Amino acid sequence: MTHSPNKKTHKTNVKKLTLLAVYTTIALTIFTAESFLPPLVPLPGVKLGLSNIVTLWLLMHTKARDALWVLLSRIVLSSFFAGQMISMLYSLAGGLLCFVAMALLFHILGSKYIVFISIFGALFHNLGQIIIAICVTQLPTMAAYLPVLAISGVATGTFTGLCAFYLKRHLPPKIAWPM
Amino acid sequence: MKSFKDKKTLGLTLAILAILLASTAALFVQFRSSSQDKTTHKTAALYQNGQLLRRIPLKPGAEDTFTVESGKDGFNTIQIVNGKVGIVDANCPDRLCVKMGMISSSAYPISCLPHKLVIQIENSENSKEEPPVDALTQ
Repeated sequence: MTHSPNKKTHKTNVKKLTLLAVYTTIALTIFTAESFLPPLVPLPGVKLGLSNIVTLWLLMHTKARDALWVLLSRIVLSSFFAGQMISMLYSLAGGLLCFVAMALLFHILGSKYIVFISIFGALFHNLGQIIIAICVTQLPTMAAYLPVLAISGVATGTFTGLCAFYLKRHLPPKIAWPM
Repeated sequence: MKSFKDKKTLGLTLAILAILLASTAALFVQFRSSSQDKTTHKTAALYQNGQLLRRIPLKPGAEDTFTVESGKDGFNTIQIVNGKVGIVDANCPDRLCVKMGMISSSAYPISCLPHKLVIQIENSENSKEEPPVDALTQ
């Protein structure tokens, strides 16, 4: 660990680290709770993706880099809890593709269009997972799920985007990001 | 507020484009498979780890139940009834493959991703090559 020459930046770093840890915990809790819900549609990859609210939330309140760290921590930890290393591959591919798409769109659109950003995040998440599914099964026929996953991605992306949108509207930034 | 308007149109256009693309793709798949599914020559192709394990003709009245092992102690029990194929039992974590039910359409394959198992309905003309049972028995 390097010592920060400035006491104030050191203090804010610790505060930020703690906040990001709290957000990782929130994301992990949402992810675990969601995994107990029965699947809406019995198709691989169709899920609400509620923990993406935390990623959207962090994109709106802090740097994209911080949101990425929280996302990566959440994926690695949740894969440990799930006990399956193969699920980490799916989560990583989907999560990273989703994050890149969302961070780029957020840079262009800003937090006013968080619902659109969320929709595109969901679409790219599904795309990443199908790519891994094709690699794992070595069958290009897995791409047959893409259209229906795109529809579910639009629906679930709208839902998570709206969650983030209304959270932002009703939760004062002092509580959401007390930096 | 020029930039605001630009962003709004960009966002809206992207979203509408995505929804249109997704729905047309889904409709296309559904339409193509439903027009193909009228053929009587349907086969269920069973793949594991990308390799074709077996190809089962889905004739009306044909019944079969068998188990495919995967890895150390993984299994999927596959059933064929009334021209439909499905996984009726499995010990994968999410058991999504069982929940997917029985299929007779080539629109979506049944997959058990933890066991790397995929069942795809094929409407190929290849099934004609197999000797019909009636010709053998007569």
